[in-house]
Amino acid sequence: MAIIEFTNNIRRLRFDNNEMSQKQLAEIAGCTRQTIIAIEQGKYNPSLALAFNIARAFNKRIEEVFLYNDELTA
Amino acid sequence: MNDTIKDAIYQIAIVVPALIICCLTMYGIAYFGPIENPLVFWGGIWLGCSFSGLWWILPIVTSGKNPQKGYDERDLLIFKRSVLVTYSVVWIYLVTACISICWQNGPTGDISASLFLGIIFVGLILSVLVHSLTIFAQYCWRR
Repeated sequence: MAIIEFTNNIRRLRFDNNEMSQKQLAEIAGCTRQTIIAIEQGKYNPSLALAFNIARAFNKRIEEVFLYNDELTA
Repeated sequence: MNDTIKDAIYQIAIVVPALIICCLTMYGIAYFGPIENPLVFWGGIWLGCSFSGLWWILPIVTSGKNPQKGYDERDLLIFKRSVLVTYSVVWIYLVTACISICWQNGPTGDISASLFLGIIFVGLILSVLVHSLTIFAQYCWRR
């Protein structure tokens, strides 16, 4: 069974964009600050729409913000 | 703190104790009160106030006063999972209760009004409790 682990660069991108706060990013992306925290910590995988919104907030492509590694387990 | 957690705290802190107190009060009045055989009477009033009372629309009215978005797709997903778990638990509880009663009394046996209402009340309390606890668990749980 393939387990897909997502990682993201949101925290770094926030600081690269004038130290954007989690609240500001949440308002731009259309979600709550708690969801941004959960995404940054890897506790929640966002929907495609939200992932695109977050990427647009940084003027980046989605694959520059979200990365995934898949590994096969027995 | 978002609206889903606030609702869960409200249910744990206010609704569940209120339901238990109301249930115990009703049974107390039924067994020790002055009215003869009042359990169904009080139970009907209690259920009527619980399900058809205007206080159910209070969150809808108050939510319009707060334009700030208090939930998003993650909260909605957590809420849906919680409802699914609650539905499953209550369904198992009711089926178990029905089978137990049928097993003890037979398919044509009788049960008391106290037991019948008690099953409904416990199911209601169980549903609120499980719903709130599963919301808390999911916010603490990874994914």
